[in-house]
Amino acid sequence: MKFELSYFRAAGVGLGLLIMATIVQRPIAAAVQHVSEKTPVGSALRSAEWAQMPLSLRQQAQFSAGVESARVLNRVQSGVLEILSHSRNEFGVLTDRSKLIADITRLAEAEGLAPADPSLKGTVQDITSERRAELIYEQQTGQAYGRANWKADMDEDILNAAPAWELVRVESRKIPRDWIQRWRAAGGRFFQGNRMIALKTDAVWERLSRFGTPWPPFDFGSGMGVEDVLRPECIELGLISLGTRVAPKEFEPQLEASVRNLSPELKNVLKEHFGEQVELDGELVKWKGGVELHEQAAANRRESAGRIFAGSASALGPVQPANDATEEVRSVVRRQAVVNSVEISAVAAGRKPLFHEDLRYLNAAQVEDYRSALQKQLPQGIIARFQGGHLYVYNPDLVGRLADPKQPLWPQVLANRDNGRWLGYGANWHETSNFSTVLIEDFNGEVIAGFGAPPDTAALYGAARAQDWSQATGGKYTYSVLRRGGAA
Amino acid sequence: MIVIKLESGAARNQLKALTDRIEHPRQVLAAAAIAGRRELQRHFTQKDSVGNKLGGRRTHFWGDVRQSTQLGAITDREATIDIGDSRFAQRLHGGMIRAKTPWKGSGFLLLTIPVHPQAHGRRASVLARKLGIKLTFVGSARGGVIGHFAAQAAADQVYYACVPSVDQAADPTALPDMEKFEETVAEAAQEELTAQAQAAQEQTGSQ
Repeated sequence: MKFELSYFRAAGVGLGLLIMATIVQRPIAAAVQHVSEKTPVGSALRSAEWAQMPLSLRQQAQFSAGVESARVLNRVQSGVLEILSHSRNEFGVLTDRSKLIADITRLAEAEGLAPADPSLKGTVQDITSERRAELIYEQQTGQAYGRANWKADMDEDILNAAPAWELVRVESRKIPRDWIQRWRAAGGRFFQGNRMIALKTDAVWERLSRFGTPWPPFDFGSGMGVEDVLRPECIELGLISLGTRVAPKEFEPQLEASVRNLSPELKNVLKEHFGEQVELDGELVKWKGGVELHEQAAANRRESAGRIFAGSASALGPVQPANDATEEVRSVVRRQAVVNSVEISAVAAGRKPLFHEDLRYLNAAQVEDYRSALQKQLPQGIIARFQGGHLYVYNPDLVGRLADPKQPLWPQVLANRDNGRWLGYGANWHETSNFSTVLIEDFNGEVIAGFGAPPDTAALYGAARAQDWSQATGGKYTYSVLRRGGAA
Repeated sequence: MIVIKLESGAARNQLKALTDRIEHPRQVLAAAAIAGRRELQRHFTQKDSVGNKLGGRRTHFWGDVRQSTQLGAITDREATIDIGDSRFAQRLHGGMIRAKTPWKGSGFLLLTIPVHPQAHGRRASVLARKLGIKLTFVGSARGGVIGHFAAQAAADQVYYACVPSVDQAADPTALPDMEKFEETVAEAAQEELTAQAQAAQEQTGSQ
């Protein structure tokens, strides 16, 4: 249905200037475009890890935290598009909020995506829950309309008619968050007491947003929005002077810069999380689709990781220490065999570039037998070598990104065997102090491994290495990122 | 600073002359449209602050309408404000809604109208899963109810009324008071005109 209300009014006194303001109900083209340009991307990453993804990849991905199901992701995108574009089904019925929520929850349940942990049932981490589906609806439509609004407001005439926004509460919340504090932390200025106002082109909006975008919503379910501050008030508040013309801001270059010249380590960890869905060749990193294939490949990798881990752990565990050893030492050897096998299975699954361990304390002949058997189990292309008492398993494609292509690969593997960048941790803590400590913890909260990772992407590496454990053993493993000084 | 009083005849003449020289008529329309958008958004925010009639949990319908309220095309002569939410027209005008999608299995053409607070904003399948209960339809192709019917009648609970069609009343407050809205829009346009006139006058004065 379309309706139109027209108001004709002469503005001013006898100016003869006819102003026509029309209110029309129709799809917002820029909002539809925002969603239709997205690529469905499946991954096990949670929100905190997605937050560390390059902005452009986040903006262009149709994702939902922890969801790998192609069917669910495709339905989210098609459903949101149907809502925004006012599409009707074969009976002429519009898709609406309640229909999309019903579809997502039903589909997710049919796909068997309910969390195994009963404490997560019904929470936002449960993709089969109404609460999570509502959040998806709110977030997807909010971002689409938010971006469309921002684009419209970056028209020079419109921007100068209302150069600023005020951050205001637009929906009530039972327990509202402290936005005054967040505004202050983002570097926002206060006017007339606690009014949070800034030019629309001010970077404070990006700093305020959990998503790094200059438009609302600024956080999940925040209930906060923006209201235009008209030009006369901006002048009165001293934000602009009488003759000032505010220049529109472009966001596209910022998006492009976020995926230009990424480090090879970061490219590797993107490959680990997204497989063939991400295109890494060339100057710009971008999505290339294939969520269905990725879902199947991820399932295969999990199966392969579990199989290789089991085979490796059972073969490596009984390998005897080189010298007479106490039972205590043998026990340590068996435990270390588990750690080694987890990491080896991660390399085998294409998730980690390099595994290296000094095994000179073990019987060399037995380790060589183990290596030989392992090589037969490993997928084509993955190499296992035992040299000088050290065991190496590596993925030539992944380490190749880090290596000098003009030099032979193997000597470079040897030279970088203790380099955290090559081992899949993102940072080499032997050569830099600029890293965050990441701890991998088992289901009892016991720390089982630790490494240094780049501070701004530590969650991506933490998730990757915790997944190594989860996929190999089938157990639940998490990670913590320690801030400087040791606080989590 | 030179203040131009729009009511005065002198100002009118001055402005008439200025109108022909306005370099930015689109800016005037932009000011009007953006003031109109703000007025509409404020109105929808106000409406969103009121709970639903059933007393169920909030779905923030009016919040959705608010965020879908955007600026459309703005030219030198006209401005458009778009409301992107497809459900808004029905609220504004009301009217007959007929069931169109046949139910799976029976082929019944019935609407499910929430009559219980917990059913507000929820499809029957979502409610059943949420409450962990089995919902049953009792009725015929001409209508009925959907509820949870337990062994004891005292525990029965009806959640939806099922009807072939419903005549929804228009919401007379769906849009803000039009007189006030017009005033706001015109006032913003007038302020922008004044600003342009002042700027032009300052420029003339400095020559």
